[in-house]
Amino acid sequence: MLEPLGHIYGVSNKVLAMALSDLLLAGDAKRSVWIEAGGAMIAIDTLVHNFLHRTGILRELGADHAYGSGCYRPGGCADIVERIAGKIDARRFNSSFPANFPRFVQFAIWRFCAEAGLNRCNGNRIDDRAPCDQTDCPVFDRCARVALKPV
Amino acid sequence: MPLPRHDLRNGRLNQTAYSLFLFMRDLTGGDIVGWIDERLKAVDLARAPDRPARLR
Repeated sequence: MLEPLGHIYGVSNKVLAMALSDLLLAGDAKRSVWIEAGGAMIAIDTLVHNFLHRTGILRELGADHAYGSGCYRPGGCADIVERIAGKIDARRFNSSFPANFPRFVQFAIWRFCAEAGLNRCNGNRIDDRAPCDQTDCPVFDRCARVALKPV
Repeated sequence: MPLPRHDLRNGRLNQTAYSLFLFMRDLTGGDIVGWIDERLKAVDLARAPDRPARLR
């Protein structure tokens, strides 16, 4: 669905995924396939891409790429978030959620990073010329702390 | 008689709005809901591992 709609002037994959996710998840509770499709819409912005880079997930999976259309190519950020979501039962967080809920996992990553969310993994908190030094980060010990723009 | 002018900043949002309108009129036959239903119906119902990607 994203491909044909992507021909509309001025809309990116990210905007389409966000809009379609809302429409499909909330559009009609009786259309179960809409809810499934809405939950599969993943919006990759720089926060989510950079999180996957800084944590070393891209490097570990041999998936290093620049932010942009590569995020939606096979093996890119969207695929990786989808793989992660497949290992998380979202019903643990809300019993009304579908078990496999990639959009929820993507949104959780975004909230972890965003200034308007937990404000943890972003360029305001991290000097990207060097590895992150936020020792109080809840995932500090498990994070590869890859510098985004090493000097 | 001059054509009326829109009160726009740079017109890009207007282009997007027209583009969306034309997409819905010409490519979905004016039925975006039916178009979405058809697109999703075309996805293989088998529990393929890449089903979420196909739904996108």
